[in-house]
Parts: sequence; structure tokens; C-alpha cells
Amino acid sequence: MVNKQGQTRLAQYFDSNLTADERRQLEGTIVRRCIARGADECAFVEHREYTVIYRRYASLYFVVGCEGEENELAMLEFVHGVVETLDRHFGNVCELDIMMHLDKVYCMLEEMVMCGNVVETNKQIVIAEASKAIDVQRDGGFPK
Amino acid sequence: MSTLRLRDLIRKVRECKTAAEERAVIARESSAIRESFRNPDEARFVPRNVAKLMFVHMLGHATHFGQMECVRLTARNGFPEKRIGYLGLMLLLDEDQEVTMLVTNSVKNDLSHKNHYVVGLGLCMLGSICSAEMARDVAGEVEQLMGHGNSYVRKKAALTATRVIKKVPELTEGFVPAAEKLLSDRHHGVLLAACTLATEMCEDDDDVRQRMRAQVPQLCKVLKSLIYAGKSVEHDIAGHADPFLQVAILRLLRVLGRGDADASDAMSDILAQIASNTDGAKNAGNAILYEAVETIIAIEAVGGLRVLAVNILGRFLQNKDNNIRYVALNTLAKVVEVDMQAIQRHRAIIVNCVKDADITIRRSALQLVYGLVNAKNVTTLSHELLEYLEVCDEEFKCELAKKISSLALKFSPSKQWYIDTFIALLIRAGQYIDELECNDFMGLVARTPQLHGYAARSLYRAACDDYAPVRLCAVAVWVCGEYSDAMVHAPSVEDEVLTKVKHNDVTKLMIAILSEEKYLMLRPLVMTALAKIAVREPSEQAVIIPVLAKYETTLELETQKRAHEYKSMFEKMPDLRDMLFEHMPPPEAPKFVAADTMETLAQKKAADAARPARSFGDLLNFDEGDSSQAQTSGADLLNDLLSPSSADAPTSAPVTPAKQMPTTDPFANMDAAHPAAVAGLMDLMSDDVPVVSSSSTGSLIDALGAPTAPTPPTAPQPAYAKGSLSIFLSASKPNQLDQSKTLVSARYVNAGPADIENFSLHAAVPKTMTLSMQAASGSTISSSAPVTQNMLVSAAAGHEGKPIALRLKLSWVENGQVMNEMATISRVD
Repeated sequence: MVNKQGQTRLAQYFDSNLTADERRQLEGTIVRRCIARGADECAFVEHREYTVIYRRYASLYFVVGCEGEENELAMLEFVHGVVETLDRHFGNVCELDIMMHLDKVYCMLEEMVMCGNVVETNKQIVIAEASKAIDVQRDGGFPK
Repeated sequence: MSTLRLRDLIRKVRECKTAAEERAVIARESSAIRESFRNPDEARFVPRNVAKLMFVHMLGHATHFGQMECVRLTARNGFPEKRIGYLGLMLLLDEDQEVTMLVTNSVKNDLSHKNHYVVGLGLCMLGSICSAEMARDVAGEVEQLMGHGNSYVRKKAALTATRVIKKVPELTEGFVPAAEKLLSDRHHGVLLAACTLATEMCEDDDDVRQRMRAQVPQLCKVLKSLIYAGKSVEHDIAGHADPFLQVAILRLLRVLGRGDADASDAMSDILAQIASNTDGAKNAGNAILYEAVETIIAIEAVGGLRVLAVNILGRFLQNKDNNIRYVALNTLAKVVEVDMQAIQRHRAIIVNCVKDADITIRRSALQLVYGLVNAKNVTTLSHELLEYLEVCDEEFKCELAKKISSLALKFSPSKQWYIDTFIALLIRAGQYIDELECNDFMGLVARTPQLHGYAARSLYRAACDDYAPVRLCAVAVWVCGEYSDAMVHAPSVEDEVLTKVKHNDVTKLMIAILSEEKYLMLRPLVMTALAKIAVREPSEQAVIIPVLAKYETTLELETQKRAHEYKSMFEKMPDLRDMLFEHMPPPEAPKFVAADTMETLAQKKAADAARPARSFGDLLNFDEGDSSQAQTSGADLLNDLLSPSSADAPTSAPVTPAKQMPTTDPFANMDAAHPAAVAGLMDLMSDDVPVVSSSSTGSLIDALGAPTAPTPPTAPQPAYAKGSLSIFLSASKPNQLDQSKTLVSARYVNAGPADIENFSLHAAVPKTMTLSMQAASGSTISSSAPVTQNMLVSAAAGHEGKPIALRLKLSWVENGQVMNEMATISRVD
């Protein structure tokens, strides 16, 4: 997740051995290319062997890089699912929510994506499981 | 002590105005966190500190020192600590051997924890970072958890298993029964994970694929229930029941159906239903349709199903949404090889997509068009592409021009058409056409005598334009100069635009090119062209010789040299010049151009592969001058050249000094005009090249006239000598405008009686330069035939003026003895 100024707000990599510098560089290149594109252009950019799929919500860009035969349209739909889930949890989610509650967002993402694969698309389940885990944070013990 | 809250850190970072300020804040905080980690009293702050490190990591700063703390957190008892610890591990860990070993121990405990959320955390972490060793250690636990009573654990275990078998493919076998069982699970999330796992298993393993094919009916059943099930609020997206699951099942079916007629048959019904019943009004529906089409294309589907799939793609193509058009173009590119006919119907739309405003779409469309072209439609398609080339953005032109050029070469129906197309390409995008391709084109013209006149006239028309690109003019100058006679006299070809050209017109064009500043680099070529025209049409000499005379005093070395040589030839050797300015012998055809018709396409394809290795003679340099021409057309001409004054001139020796002519700089040439200097140089010359008798050198110089005397290498002393071997090096600037490039010509001379065999020389230059070595003219140096080798040294920016230093590593065999030597040459002049 990247904002309009190209600042990364949340990033997760699956199976990559990039160093911090390489990561920053890669994010920079991809984000610059996405931001430069117009609203009516298609949501896909090819970068080296990866297909980059992005979707813009207000000032935030959600960028996903896939390799191989990924269904681009389904991935777009999934990004929308993630945003809707965050929206339901935070109530009209905005950039600041994501920044300030980094660990909660990660927690929610974790319920939806695992090792680069979609794990759950049912928003109710995701929110229920994630809130249980997040709530425990405060009072100790284990989620039920 | 660091008790700053994550929120406060974020606020502080946001307040930073510059990147340097941000770095300072991060550095301060990082050291405070380190300090805090070391203090056992501050254990309760560790989760908070790790959370801060995640933020620091996201900003792209070093956080490795937090890895160990994450491991410790995961080993604690409380859930919040474990959670933040695992999250930290997933984000911060790199392949640190020691840390991963510790992680394996603590995660193994958590996988058997009674609380399923803890188990979920462990699985999730393994899914993200597990290495091959960890995979082996936890495979048993993961497999067991796939049969866990809770769906939350089952789905995560299935996905962790994909990571495990990705890292250690041998483990696949053990997961098959568990995976098969999960494919009948009722929970959508588990099913989705199971499909992902099964797809991963089947991708590279034939046996597993064969076993999994038994699951095809079950998968079809699930799909059917999805399509016909009533609406369920949780999984519906825009009226489609769990599109993600549908997509995942379709993908698994694709892997299973590929190359197996029975399995393909079993799934064709459901595929047809999905393809015809899914509503494509929303993105989710299109995602399903897209996946179904991909599957139909990949499996052994019957014709009807395929038609259905291609029709869906046709609908996609007409969609206004660029996303959908993009997937349609990419998918059609996969169909091209299977079913060309079906796509040809959509050709017009596809060609329109090449002109789209969106670069991603343009690229995909161009790729598709490229696959679409065949011998039948090449004329129409390349015509359209050429038209578009005229209007498209500058950044896209290069790519497009290259594609058109290779298409034209591959499918050209006739040589005349190819000539037309290539010239059109040169006119529209000359700057993007590779020099090699131009050379190939000129070679093709040279080998096609019946079209000499046609090609020359077409190029003449194109070059008459004031804005003709340099590349076009270069080709035009060569072809018009070489075939000016055919241009004037050859009858016109069918469909040709009637052009009456006289020699006089060609001369005028050449002179116009000479006067244009932008064609500066073409001047040497024009000199040769003019000389050739003057020979073909003696009446033109009255105009041409004064032009040559004018350029005898130019500061551009190559132009000056040619102007002077040619003029001398006209004045002093009237009987020789006809022979010297004969037509160039057509260069041998590279294999892939040799055949121009479709019948031999197969051969061409094979030759295409070999193309990069083939280095075609540089035609532009072929006609560099009389002496180099003599080299290319064999020793006969050279003998002729020398015979008037010296009958027994050695045939090989003068070639060497002639080759080194460009080594002089303009001022040396001016000096050489003084007779005394010439004599001095000649003395040097005969010392330097012992094999050339001074009389033959003298006569050669006489024949060519004093100023173009083959000035000897400026280093008369060998740069290196050992026993009978001497190495002479000389440096020159091949391009006066580019001072960074230096051509170092090396000559290896053997003064002893025995041949030097297996000679090899490796050279290294200082770091500020790069060196590219060309092949030596031979590996055996006999006393009568020295070996030459060229090296191109490019200096990095700012180091152009520095002398070239070389370190040499030599090896050779002399009298059966292997010699290995090292040498350092501090300066090559």
C-alpha cells in the first residue's frame, strides 16, 4: 500500500531475498510507473517477469506484484475485498488508520493472504477471526 | 531506555521535512531500541519495540538486530507477545541460519498448542519464511494439522504445505492423501487452500497429476453446486458465488486436463456451462470467464468448446474496459499457435489496440499482431503498422520499428516488396533501425541484380526529401553510388513510380548531402559514391573532381583521405581506376536472408536462432578505399595495383601499412606533405616492416601520392619484444567526434625462422577504461606473415585524455616449447 506521494504505508513480501535497498528501489520504480498512469488506463503494468496489478482508492494505491499465471481480474477483485474488509473494521478506513494500526492491518491481511496465496475471502470470517486476535492484545489470555 | 510509543515514533517521522532528518530520527530510535533490548528490566517493552522495528523496516532501514528478540517473543507464553513475535519474524527475518534453527524449535511447540489461534500463527509464519531445512523438520506436523478438526487450522495447514513442497519437492508424495481429502471439504476457505495446494503439487509431478485426475468429478461437482446454489451472503460478489473458489478450481482443472483426453472430456460439460452462463457485466464475472477460457484453451477440448472460448475473448476485445481488453490480448496470444483462423476474424480490433493510448495495451497488442502475421496477411498488416508508425509516440517507435522490420524479413512475399517496406521503414523510423539490418538490406540489394535500378531509384526519391533520416541517406548513398548505371539505364519494374534519373541528378543529390551539417558522418561514404559515379559516367568527372579537390583539405580525416586518394587515382592512374571502382562483389547472403520466399520459412526459422552469432561484414566499410577493396576481393587487384612499378611485390605485406592509414592524426598528414618528411617516414617504414622491401613501399606511396602515404605506426619501436616475437601497438581515434574511443591496432611480428604457434594474447586495461578485443587474424605467426589484431578501448567519462596502459598475458609455442609471459605497457601512442 502506497500513498500518492509514493511513500510506502504497508509492504509485505512472500519468498523474496531482497535487501532493504533493493526493496526500496523496486517499490520506487513500480510506484512511479503506477502513479504516472491515467485513470482510464488498464490496471496492469508489466515489470520484468512480474505483472503488477494496482488499484487506487482515494490517495492510496494498492499494488500487487504477481508472477506466472495469476488471474489479473480476480486479483483486482481480491484487492477490493481487502479494502472492504479494512473498511468494515475501521469504519471508513483512511491512510492514517493504516499507518497508526500497522499491526492490526497486518493481522487482517494475514487472515486473507498466506504465503502469497489467498486463504479466505469471506469478509465476516476474516473480521471475526482478526478481531478476536486483536482484542486479546489488550487483556491477555488466549482468543477463543 | 526507549519507551516511545509506536504512534509517537510515527508522528515524529512524519514531522521530518527531509530524508536526512528522517534518517537521523530512525538512527536515534534504533539505537534506543537496541539499548532497551539489552536491558532485562525492560522486557515488557519488547513487543512495542518490535512493532516500532516493523515500521522502521517498512521505511527501508536496517532492523536485523530485532530478529533475535522476535524469536524470544514467540517463545513466551502470552498470546499478544507470540502474535507480535511471529509477525516480526515474517517481516524482519532474512536467511540467518542460527535464527531459523531457534525458530524451528519454538514453532514446533506452538504447532501442538491447544489453542488453534496459536497454531494458526505458527503455520502462517512457516508459510512465509520457512527454509528447506525447516520444511523437512515440520512436514510431519503440517500434514497432521491438515486433518485438524477446526477449519481455521486446516486451511492454513494446506497453504503451509504448499510452501513446504515448494522448498522440498520430494515431500510432495506424503501430502497427496491429505490434499485429496481436503478437496471434498465443505468449508470454502479450506477448499480454496486445497485447490492451491493441489495445483502446486501437480505442476511438476506427472505421477501426482495422474493420481489427482481421479478428483476431476468431485471438482466438477463443487463447481456445479457453486453455479446453481442460491445466493449466500458471505461469499457472493456481485451475484457470483465465491468467484475466487471458482477461479481456483478452474485453474486446478486446467493442470489436470492438460494433455489428458479423458480428464478433459469429464470437465467439458461444466466448462461449457460456466462459459455460456456466467454474466460478464461485472469484473468478478469476467474473472471467472477469463479463467474458464484459459482452461478451455489449455486442455484437450473439443472444437465447439474452443469456438466458445475464442468468442468470449472476442467479446472481451470489444469491451470498453481496458483491463478486460488487456487479458483478452494476452490470452489470444496463447491461442495464436493453436487456432490462427479464429483470431484472424478479430484482426481489425487487434490492430486498433496497437494504436491505443495505454502503453500496456499497445505492448500486448503488438505482441499479438506479431504472432498473427503470416505470408497471406503480411502486406496488409505491415501497411497498417507502417501507417501507425508515422503517428505513434516517439518512445514506442523503436519497439514498433524493430517488429515491423523483422516481420518484413520473415514473411516478405517478394524481394521488391521487401525493398519497398524497408525503405518505408527507413523513412519513418530510420533512427531506430539497426546498422546491421541496413547492412543486410544492402547485401540483399547487391545480390539482386534485376532490382538494382529499382532499389536505387526508390532510395533516390526517398533521400531527396529534406528531412530524410541519416540512416536512410547512408543506405541511399551507398546504393545510388554503387548502382548509378542501373539506376539510369535499367528499365522500370512493374508498379514502379516513374522516375527519370540522370547521372547528373545523382551527383546533385550527393553534393546536397555533403552540404548538410546533419549528414556530416556520411561524407566519407559520399566520396566513394562520387568516385564510382565518375567512373560509370565519365562526363560527370568535370563536376565531381572539383568536389573531391574541395574535400582534400577538410579536417575530417576519413573524408580527406578518401577525397585525396580518389582524386589521385583519376589523375594518375586512368587505366586502373575502372577496375578499382568496379561493382562491389555481392556479400555472401546470411542464411536467413538467402531465402526470401515462404517455402523456405522452416530453414529461415532455424537460421534465425543462429542470427546473433553471425557478424555480417560491415558493408559501409567495405568500400573504404581502393586498397581495402583490394583486400576483400583477393590479392589479384592488389597485384594489379602494384604491378606497374614493382612486379615482384609481396602480396601480403603492403596490406599491413595500408590498414594502418587511419592511425594518423590530421596534423601528421600535413607534415607529411613536405618531401623531406616523407622520406624520413619512409625510412622509418622500411625499418619497421622488415618484410616490405623499401622499393615496393616507395612505389606504393608514389602511386597514391605523397599526403596519403601510409604513415607508419607512430611507435616504431616494438612495444614488447621477447626472443623472435615483437609486438607493435598503435593507437588511433576511429571517430574524431568521440574522443573516448581508441582503436589499438596490434601487430605481432616474428623475426625468427621458426613459426610461432598457438599465439594468444590477453589484455587488461585500467579501471577507468573498458576493453573489447577483436579476433586476431591468425594464431600462427610465420616470419613472412605478421598477425594483426584490433582492440577497442573506451574510456569512462572524464578520463578521455589519459594514456592507455595495458597489461598483457601472452602464451605461444615456439620450437615445441610452451612460452607464458606477462608484460606491462605503460603507454600506447
